[in-house]
Amino acid sequence: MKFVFYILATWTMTSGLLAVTMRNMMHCAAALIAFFAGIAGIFFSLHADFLGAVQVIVYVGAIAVLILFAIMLTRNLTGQEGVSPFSGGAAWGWAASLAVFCAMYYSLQDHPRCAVIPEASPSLAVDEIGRLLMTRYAVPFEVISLLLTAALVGAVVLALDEPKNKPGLPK
Amino acid sequence: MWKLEQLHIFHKYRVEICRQRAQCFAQLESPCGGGAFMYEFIDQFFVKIGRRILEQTQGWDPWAAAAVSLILTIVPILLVFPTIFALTTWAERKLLGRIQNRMGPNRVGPVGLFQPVADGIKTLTKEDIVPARADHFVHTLAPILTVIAAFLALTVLPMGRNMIPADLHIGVLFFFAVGSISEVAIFLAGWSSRNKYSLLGGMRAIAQMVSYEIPFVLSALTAVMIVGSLSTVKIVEAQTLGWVVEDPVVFTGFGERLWWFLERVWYHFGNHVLGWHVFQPWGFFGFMIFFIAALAELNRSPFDIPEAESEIVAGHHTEYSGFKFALFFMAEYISMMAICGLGVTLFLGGWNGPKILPSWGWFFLKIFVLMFVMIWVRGTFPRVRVDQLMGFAWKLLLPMSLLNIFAAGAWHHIPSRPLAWALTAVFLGSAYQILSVFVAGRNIQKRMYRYA
Repeated sequence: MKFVFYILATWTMTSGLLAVTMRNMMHCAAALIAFFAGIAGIFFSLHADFLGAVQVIVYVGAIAVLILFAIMLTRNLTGQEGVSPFSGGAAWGWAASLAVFCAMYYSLQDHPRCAVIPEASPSLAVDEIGRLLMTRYAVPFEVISLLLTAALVGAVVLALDEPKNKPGLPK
Repeated sequence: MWKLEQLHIFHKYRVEICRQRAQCFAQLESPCGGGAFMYEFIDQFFVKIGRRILEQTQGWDPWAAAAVSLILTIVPILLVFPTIFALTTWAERKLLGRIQNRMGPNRVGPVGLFQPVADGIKTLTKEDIVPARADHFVHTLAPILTVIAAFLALTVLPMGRNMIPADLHIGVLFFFAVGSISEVAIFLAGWSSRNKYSLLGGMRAIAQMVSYEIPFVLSALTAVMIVGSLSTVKIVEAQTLGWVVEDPVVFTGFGERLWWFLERVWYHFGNHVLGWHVFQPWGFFGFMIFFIAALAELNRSPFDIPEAESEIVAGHHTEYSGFKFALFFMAEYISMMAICGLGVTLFLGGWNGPKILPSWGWFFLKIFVLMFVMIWVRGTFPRVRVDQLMGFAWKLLLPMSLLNIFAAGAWHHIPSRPLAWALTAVFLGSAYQILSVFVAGRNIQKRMYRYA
C-alpha cells in the first residue's frame, strides 16, 4: 500500500510542480488535470471511492474544463518565450510556502490519525455522507448551495449586459 | 457384479442428486421446468469458465493470481467490444444506406461484412500526419485518453447475471467520472491540432457536453434514488417484481393445468419485464431524457454540431489521420455502447428478461436495439442549430429532469403503487405539455412541405 502511495505522491507532486512552472498555459492546465487525477488516486488508495469519483467529476470534469475555457478566451495562449515564470518576489513565495509546509509538518507529524490507512472499504460511506449532509451539516450545505446559486445568477447578469438593440439569434 | 453395499451407496447418491435437482427446479421458477438446467448452464457458462480458471490459481503467488484475474477481466472486454464496434460500423453504414435508398458497403465479403477488416487495414497502413505547428505530445495523448475513458466506462456494467468486470459500490458515479475525462480529451484534441476548425469543434463539443451532462446525470439519479444504491448490480437486481406463483396441490383437469401454465408464464413475464424502471412514469421520462442527452454526449446526430461536416470539416478530429483517427472513431463507438449499456442498466432492466434468452443475451440485445435507434435517428433527423441545442437542454431537459426527480421522490413516498403511478404520470405528462408549449412558443403551426 505504501508503494502505491509513493507512486501517487510522486505523480501528484510532479504534475503540481509542472502546473506552476511550465510556460504554455494549456500545458499548465493539462498538468493541473494530472494533478487532480493524482489526488483522486490517493483518495481511491485510501478506500474513499466516493470522494475519489467526486474528485474526478468535480475537478476534472467541471473545474478543469472551466479553466480550459478561460484559457481559450485569453489571447496569450502559448506563453512568452524567454521570460522566467518566476517573478522578482519569488523568494517571498518560497519562504511563505516553506513556512506553511513546516507548520503543517510539525502540527501533523504526531497526530494519531495520520499513521493509519484504513484496511477495508467503508461500504456505507455514501449513505453516511448523504445523511450527514442532510442532518448535521444541513445549514452549511444550504449556505454553499445559496452561494453557488448567487454566483450563477451573477454570471448570467454579467453575460446579459449587452445593448438592447443588438439583433439576437433567430428564434 | 457390484456388491450390495456399493449398490446401496450408488442408490443414495442417485437420491441425493434427485433431491438437489428438485430444489434447483423450485428455485429456478422457470415457466417450463424442463429446460431449466440447460438454461442455467448457458446463462452461467462464461462465469463458470472464469471461476474454473481462477480455481487453478489457488496456491500461486498472489501477484500471479491477481494478474490472471485481471487478464480474465480485461481480455473479454478487449475482445468482445471492439468486435461489436467493427460490426456496428458495418451495420450503421448498411442501415444508413437502406434509409437513403442505396446499397451501403457490398464489395468486401458477403453483403460487405468484411468491410471493417478492410477499413482497419487501411487505417493501420495510412501515414500518421501531425500538423507542423501542432503540439505533438498532446496531439498523441488525446486519442489515447478518449479510448481509455471509453473502455473504463464499460467496466462497471453488469453484462449478465454474475457477469460484471468490476462491481464497484459507486458504479454509476464511476461511469460519470470516466465520462468527464473524455470531455477533456476531446478538448485537448481540438486545441492541440492548431487548426481553427479543430478548435471550434473542441469548443462546441465542450459547451454541448457541459450543457447536456446536467440532464444526463439528473435523469440517471432517479434510478439511483429509487434503488437507494450507486451499485449497478443492485440497480439491475431491483428491477424485478418478485411475484410468486401459488402452485395448486392437485390438478383436476386439463383446463386447470393450462390456466396454471398461463399464469406461470404471465408471472414470469411480469417478474422479468414489468419491473423495469422504464415502465414507471418517472422511469419513462428519465429514460427519454437520458437517451436524448446521451445522443448529445456522444456528439451524434441530431446533436452533431461539434463535428458538423458542412461547417467545420470534422471538428476536433480534423487534423487526425491513420490510426489516431481510428482510435477516435473506436472511442466514439465504444462509448456509444457504454452509454447504451448504462441506459439499459438503469432503466431497461439490465440483463433481466424472460428466460428465453440467457441474461447476457438480453443485455446485448437491448444494447443493440438502443444502438439501432441511434442509427435510425441519425438517418432521419436533421442537425439542430446551436441556439436550438442550448435552448433545448436548458429550457426543456433540465426542468424536466428536475421535475422527474421530484416525481421519483413522490413515487418513493406514496404507499399505494397504482395511486403513485397515476399521480406521477399525470404530473409529469402535464409538466411536459406546459414546458414544451413554453419552449416552442404558443403559435406552433403544422409545417408544410413542398417537394421539388
